[in-house]
Amino acid sequence: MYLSQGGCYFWMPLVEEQVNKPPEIVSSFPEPDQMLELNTDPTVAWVVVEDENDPESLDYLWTIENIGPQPWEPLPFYGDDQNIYGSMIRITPDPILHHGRRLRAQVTDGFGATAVAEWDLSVPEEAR
Amino acid sequence: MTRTLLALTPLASLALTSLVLSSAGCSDAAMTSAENAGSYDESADSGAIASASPALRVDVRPQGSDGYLPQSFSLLGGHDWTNVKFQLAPTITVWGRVTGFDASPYRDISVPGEPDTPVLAEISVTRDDTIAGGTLNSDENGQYALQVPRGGSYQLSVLPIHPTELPFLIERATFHENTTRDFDLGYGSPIYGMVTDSDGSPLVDPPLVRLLDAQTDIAGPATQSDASGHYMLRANPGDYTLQVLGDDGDYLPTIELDVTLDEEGLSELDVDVGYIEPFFVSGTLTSPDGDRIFDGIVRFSSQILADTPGVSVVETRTNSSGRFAAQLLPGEWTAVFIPPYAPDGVSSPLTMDMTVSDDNLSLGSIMLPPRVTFDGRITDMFGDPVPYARVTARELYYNGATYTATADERGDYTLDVPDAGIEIIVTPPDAELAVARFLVSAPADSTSDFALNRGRALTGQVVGDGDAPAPFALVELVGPSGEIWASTLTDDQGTFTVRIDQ
Repeated sequence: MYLSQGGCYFWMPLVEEQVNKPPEIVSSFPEPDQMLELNTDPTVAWVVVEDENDPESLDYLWTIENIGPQPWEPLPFYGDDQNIYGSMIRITPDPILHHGRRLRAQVTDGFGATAVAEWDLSVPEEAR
Repeated sequence: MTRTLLALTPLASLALTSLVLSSAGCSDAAMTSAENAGSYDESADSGAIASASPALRVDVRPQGSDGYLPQSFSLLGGHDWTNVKFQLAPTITVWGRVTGFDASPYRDISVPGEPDTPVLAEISVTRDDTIAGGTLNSDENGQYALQVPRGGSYQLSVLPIHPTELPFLIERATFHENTTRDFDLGYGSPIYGMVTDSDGSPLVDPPLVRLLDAQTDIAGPATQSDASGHYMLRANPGDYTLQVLGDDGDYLPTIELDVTLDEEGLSELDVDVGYIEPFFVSGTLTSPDGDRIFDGIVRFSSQILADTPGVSVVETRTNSSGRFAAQLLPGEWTAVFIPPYAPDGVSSPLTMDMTVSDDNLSLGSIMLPPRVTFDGRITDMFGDPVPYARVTARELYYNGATYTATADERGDYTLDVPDAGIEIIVTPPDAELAVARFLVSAPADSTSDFALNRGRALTGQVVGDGDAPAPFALVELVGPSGEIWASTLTDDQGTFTVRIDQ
């Protein structure tokens, strides 16, 4: 049995569908879930983020468990790949505030998609 | 192939590199020679930097998986900054054991004590004006394993944590290869005495006492004087500063006295801290909206103390009701009130001078000033807008908090910043323009339009052993006063370009 349809075919107007590629943490210091030894003042941690469609809109939230948001700084990447950006944090070690706490970096793009990296903080016992 | 001769070296090896810097030309042979000569410090002594022309420091922090450690290089202003190779020094492991003389041995109560007892110690390694180094603790067996970039001119300190009654050690060190290094702290000689008030009575809250090495200002282990005011420290012969200080948050002033311990040892030194009668200073911290601020920092710094020598810094935090209280000695004080960091917060820090007399003092409700809106436009040197530049404001006089915004496609940005001195860092979206720094003393009254210039470019490559590139390393350009001019990342080939407005 053959089914046939008569008449004309119409192409509806094309509607551009905006598909967001979420940000991805492609590199970091230290590597995610590693221990971050706060053994220099300041100790620095950073993330390198790739976002294919809206790298200029990336926003970062660095937090330390039970302390809250932390100041961060943008970390530009001037390589050929224009979709990469970074963010860094400088931590002044404090054995009481920081030892055993968890550091978290969350990056959010303009569409609300996120990527996260976390580290445990460790501060050497002080002799003074 | 054109390539510039090395214009940089690890900071401590300038003497070696000056030969390289004086050569010119771009042949491969010369390049190879330069790379070998300037790769990392092998034997240089400290102090070579002193005669150099003003230099920019380049701090390189490789990503952890590469096996290299953070290290610094010197970039001389008068030289070409293109295609500069930053050769990372390999990581050296130093391991060993820390021991000392235990006068009260746990295992054997025989008198007069036990030598070669394992010591839990804090071991720190630093290199002047560089980021190389770090701190770690030995374990309960006194054993440690330390990693540093290969090189010389390190300063190494070993501070006993347990037992504490031992001398501390400061040495210069060079690390060429993986090596064993044991430290015997010995027993040293005693420095002892009493810490009392002007009446000769021990203090209610026994202070901490410690020694600082007079040459380096490195502090030794602290001990607490006992209830009768007695203290005892141990040290090797040398010049020191005896420091008496309160615990964190304590009102006791820090008092310093010079002391020389000769070969004879046994130095007695009593400390009179003056007349100690603290008074409560209290208040409540609120936001400009009248909300009470939780976990705000309140820091008091003495300017002149009425009845005691020395200086005192007392820090406390507000409770959930915004209240704070601290005990302070009579005198002239400066108080700073710092709200907890919040990117979208509404409060600015505040500084206040005050006098503490012979009575408790209530500061009442302290309302922090609001943040100010700092909005403007980022343009290039022709006045054309620069879209998507990052604008970072950093507090200059409080906790150095940063606030960041991204300019829109018209180059316009808006940033709520504390109404206090800030440093503005504008980071362009590409390396065609220079990262620029601007100091703004009063954000509410200052212009917030900034023009970027081409500046001066630094292009380079960070490489490790066998010229293997170091990808995604953090590269920072640091000025002579430690200010950071620019930060960037290397790409997957270890190369980077950054321009600074110099």
